[in-house]
Amino acid sequence: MKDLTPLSAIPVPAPRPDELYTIDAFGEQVSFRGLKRLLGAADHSKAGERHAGLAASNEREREAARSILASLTLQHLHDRPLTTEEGQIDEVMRVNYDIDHEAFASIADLALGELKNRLLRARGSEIRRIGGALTGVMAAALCKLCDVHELVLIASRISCPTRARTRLGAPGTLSSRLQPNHPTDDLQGITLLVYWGLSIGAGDAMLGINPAVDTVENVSALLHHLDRLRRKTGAPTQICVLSHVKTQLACLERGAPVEILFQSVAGTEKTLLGEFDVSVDLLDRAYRTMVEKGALRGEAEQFMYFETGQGSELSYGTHEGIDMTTTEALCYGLCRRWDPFMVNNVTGFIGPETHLDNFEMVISNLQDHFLGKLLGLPMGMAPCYTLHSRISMEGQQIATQLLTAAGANYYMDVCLNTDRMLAYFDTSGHDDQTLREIHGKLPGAELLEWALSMDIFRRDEDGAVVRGPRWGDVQRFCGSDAELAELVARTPAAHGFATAGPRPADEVSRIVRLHQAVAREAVASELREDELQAITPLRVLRTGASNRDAHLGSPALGGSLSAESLAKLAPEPFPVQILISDGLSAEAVHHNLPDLLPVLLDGLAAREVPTGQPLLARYGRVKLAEPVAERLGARVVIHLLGERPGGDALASRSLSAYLLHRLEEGAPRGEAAAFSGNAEMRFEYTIISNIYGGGLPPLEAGAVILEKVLQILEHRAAGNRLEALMDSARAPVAASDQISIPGTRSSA
Amino acid sequence: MKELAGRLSQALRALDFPPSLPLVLLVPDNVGKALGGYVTGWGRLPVTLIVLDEVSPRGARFVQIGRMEEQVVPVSFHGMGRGDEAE
Repeated sequence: MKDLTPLSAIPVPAPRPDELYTIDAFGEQVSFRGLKRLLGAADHSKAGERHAGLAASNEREREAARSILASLTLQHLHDRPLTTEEGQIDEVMRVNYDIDHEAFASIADLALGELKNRLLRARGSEIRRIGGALTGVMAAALCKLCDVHELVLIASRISCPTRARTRLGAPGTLSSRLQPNHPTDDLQGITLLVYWGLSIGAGDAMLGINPAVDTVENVSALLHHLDRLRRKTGAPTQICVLSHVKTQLACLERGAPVEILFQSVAGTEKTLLGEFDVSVDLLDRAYRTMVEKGALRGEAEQFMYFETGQGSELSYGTHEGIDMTTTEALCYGLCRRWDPFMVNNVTGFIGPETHLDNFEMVISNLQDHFLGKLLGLPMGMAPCYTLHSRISMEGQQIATQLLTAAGANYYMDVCLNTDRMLAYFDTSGHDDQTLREIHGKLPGAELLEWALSMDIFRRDEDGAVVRGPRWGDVQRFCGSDAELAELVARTPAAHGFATAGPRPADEVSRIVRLHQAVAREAVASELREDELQAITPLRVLRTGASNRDAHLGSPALGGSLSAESLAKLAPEPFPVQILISDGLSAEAVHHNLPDLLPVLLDGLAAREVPTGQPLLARYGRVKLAEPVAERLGARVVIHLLGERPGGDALASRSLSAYLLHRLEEGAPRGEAAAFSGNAEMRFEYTIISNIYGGGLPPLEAGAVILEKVLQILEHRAAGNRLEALMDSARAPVAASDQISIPGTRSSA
Repeated sequence: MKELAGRLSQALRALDFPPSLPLVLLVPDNVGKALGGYVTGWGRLPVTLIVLDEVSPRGARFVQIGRMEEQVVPVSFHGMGRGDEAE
């Protein structure tokens, strides 16, 4: 077990006032006030930095910033920790200073340009040693001096293998995390996606599901199901359900097989605590619990799995004036505290507000991989995209080619590139195998041995590993054709098993791409107010986004009310308000509201919950519920929001219900602060997602939302805190309960 | 669905269906909570109603419903094919 240095024992230099950095760039004096500005200007121009006002205004300014950075010593960067907007050192920055001080002393006087030269000349072990002496800020500054070849070359020399049940990241391997996400966590659909991935040699890093519903009951059920599938198939790998760390710990307490503990993390404390609801102290406790009680205790050497990606801090508005690459590097400096089994980077997941196009996504992925490896992390990569950005599958594939050359440990296996729950597009098992064949890589040793025994792979006459006669044979894991057909029927976007070499057959690819094209159109759809007013009379609001481009480029605008709408709203005596907005798919609103809203209104009326006249806002984002709740004095705002299009064409109609709970002054806010460790917390959220014909049907969603709203009102809590309260109060299911269990299994 | 729920609700009221007797509905679509809500007036009608949704209809003499485990309720149909004759 890794020793965890107490935060109080990590020395961090005292903050200093911002300095002026100036350079003569061929006759033009170029200046930057403070390290944050300098670091931001030295990076490639990316949407996030442009929105934050951190990007250089032109190439001369960018190169001037890089020249200044190249001349600064590591000691200079060490002595100037970046602070919060309030001038404080946050927890994340402090953990970043937990470095190898002896190694740092040996390089402290090097200028960054000199350090880069040294790394380009160094072998892997030397690069690892130097990486242990760097804070995230130092690594980020270095990264901004590297071109594509340098990002790939240096990273390719670093190996970061880890071990849980199996070994991950050994040289010569390229692994995959099989991600069988399903919009309703349907166990049969998940089963098909696991079988499908294993049949093409994927899943050696992990079988890992992002749950649609983050409750202890559901996550426990998924963990047990994955465990059954792992045992049934005999595939040597590890399992994980990527819910909140608190949920997973509660599952472990109940005896569920938590093998690897997952958590999303961020590069500023405000994001980590305020948005992700985790602190360094919580993760310390979680790590120790896994070492002592985890399902792989005594067997694994690492237990943690972190997910990151450029831009989360910026998209929440909690980046402290620090650019995306640097906050990402700070995030890695945080992750290494717990010696993770795997770290996964999902840059491209957020959307055009952080990464607009293929270049921005590709270069950011290369930077992230370089930073993670340099700071000693076992980096898996998930270069990905959403349909409201200008990123395409081709850009994603270019990224994977470069990242494989750079030595990425693993990619995702999202079947046919289409995540059926998270509405984005990632790498597939077919991509993994294609990259293995192009770059001469193999799956991890344990899974390879299993796959050879299963004829998924075989050795040719020269002893080389090639695809075997049963590569892609999904049916072999099923008892019969009928069972396979039943699994297929429960799985959206199962467009066909046919393959051509390591790729999906062209007829399958054409269907996938056509679905994407149709789904992308939904982003451009406009709200039809008249149609919605016909369901029930609605009050119309305006957000801060005056047009679609502003809406897509800046979530903060869609999360605010226009001055005119703000002036229109005054406190009302209704504890519950309903807010409807298009978000990223007006089509989602048009398709779901006619069924959903009447059920919800009927239920609220029957339960005598006073509710205001529903509100409608064009160009709205998630956070719009907050000013609405505050202006109207509502305890709960039911925010029905069109989700970003993804999955298949049908899923472009996916709606989510964000149930905002406004924390009242006094006991509720105190209890929420105590639970989360965030004293500034004003709202809690429960989210019900994937509301559409292929997920949670809108008719049923109306009743599900009502049930959850009643729970929020009763317990005066939402989100993780509500689930924890309900879990502690939960009695065995009584016969008198009305129950509806999605995915009920019947047998004859 | 609302109409079906209304009729079921009316029938239960007319029969004065005893709360001590559980009534189990098996429905093929994912509508359990909504159907249950409308039948019981969102919990105001004193009946013990259990709606198991996403269960394909099959002809059978009887159905065995097991204990919910890991969010799955095992449902077994017995006497396949003879249920139709019984109707």
